[in-house]
Amino acid sequence: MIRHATQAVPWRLLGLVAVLLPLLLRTVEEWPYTMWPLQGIAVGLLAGTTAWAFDEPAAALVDTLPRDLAWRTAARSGAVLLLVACWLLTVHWTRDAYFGHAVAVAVQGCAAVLATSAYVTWLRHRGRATPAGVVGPGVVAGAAFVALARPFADVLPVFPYTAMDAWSQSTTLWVALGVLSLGVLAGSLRGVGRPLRG
Amino acid sequence: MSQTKTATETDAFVALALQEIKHYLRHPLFLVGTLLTIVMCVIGPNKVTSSLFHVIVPATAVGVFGLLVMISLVRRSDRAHEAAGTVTTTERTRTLALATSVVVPFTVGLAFFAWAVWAYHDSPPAPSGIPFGDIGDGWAYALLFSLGTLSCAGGPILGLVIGRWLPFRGAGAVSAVLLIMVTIVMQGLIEPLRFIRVVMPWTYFGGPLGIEDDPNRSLIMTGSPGWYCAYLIALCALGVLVAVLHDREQPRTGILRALGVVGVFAVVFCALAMTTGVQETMVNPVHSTVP
Repeated sequence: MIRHATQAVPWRLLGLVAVLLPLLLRTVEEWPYTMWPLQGIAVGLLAGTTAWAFDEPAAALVDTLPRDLAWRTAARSGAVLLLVACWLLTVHWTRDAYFGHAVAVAVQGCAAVLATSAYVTWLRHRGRATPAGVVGPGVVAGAAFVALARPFADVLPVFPYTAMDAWSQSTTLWVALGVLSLGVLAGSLRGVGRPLRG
Repeated sequence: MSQTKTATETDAFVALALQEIKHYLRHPLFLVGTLLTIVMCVIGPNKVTSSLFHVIVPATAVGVFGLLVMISLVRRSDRAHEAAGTVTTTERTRTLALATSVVVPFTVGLAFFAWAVWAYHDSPPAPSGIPFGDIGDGWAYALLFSLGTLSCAGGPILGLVIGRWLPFRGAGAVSAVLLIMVTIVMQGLIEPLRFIRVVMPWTYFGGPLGIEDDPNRSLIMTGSPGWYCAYLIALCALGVLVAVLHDREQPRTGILRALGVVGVFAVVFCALAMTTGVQETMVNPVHSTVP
């Protein structure tokens, strides 16, 4: 499993993101009131990178292996867990940046990773070998837009801002997304998926 | 023989350019970004700032999304070229065809500009907003065009450069995040960086930056948005040239010369954007709480 992960995961990208995440959140800690959008963008980058970790560009070869989707997903999950560990450590390191809501920020990252993992695994279950080409940029772009433009922030507090914002409502939304994603992930990993195509 | 080769290359360019325009038009990220921009326009201008701060929406939803769209189009073009097997078109022709497709997001940017200028006059900014004092409508138009319209073309052109020079997976997402990060740092909120901030391809020229006893007081920052437009156009031209330069199988002397000339223009325009126009931060005499 480790050998599979060594070959299959885009480690260079993960390494780059592991450097970028502390840089983004440390910048937020330095200027929390002005650099706040970077927190949401960091969540998007974490989730987008997760999508690339599950891509299977060598689909023709993968289909000949006696390993099912669950095994291959488990093998790649180690890399994603490392990324999540990096996220949690970084949030802990920069905990003064979040107006007393570091736990909520940590939850955002974990739920976003779960949601992306579930979505790309469902796509792989349906035969898409490399869903990250669309999902990765889509997640990063979506998070960047929500963090910068803050559309409908009053009713949908995706990335709350300052101590007075609706943090508990936001955390409820993220936890609900995480739980829903777990269900989708479990459903996708059961049974035999369609043959992979590029 | 040479004429035939040129004609074939031109025909191929026209066909490819039309194809890339169609691909751009159909890309889901472009469609979502355009929809978000339309929704923002439908919601209407802000009572205090009118349409001046709406520039963030096309800049993000069409510009930054466009960076990612273009990278995916570059990869698609490369895959199609590899699948074709024989060398039918040069990389330079394909790069120029991709650059032509920027007409799609730029048109959206122009439509946004038309709406923003209309909204600026239909629902002008409040006295506590920007512009104020001697700063006229030309300043506002240049701001809307540089930040709202040119960013729609600049993002995809940067995507073309990244797509050509950084071939690894996720390069687009990482580049977009880095671009946003540096842009936020250089948008004028950090005072020591305020004067030089116009070197960035996107920066604010004013807003509710606040003063000591009024944290939301409107300020106008240094620089000339008019020259900034010229600088951004030069940056776009530089981007296309840098992307075209990637093709090592074609003669590059002419491209390098053009790069030098456009580079000089970019430096001059940037210096003018920095050293002309408003030269000291202006504070709106009207308190921010005044409606």
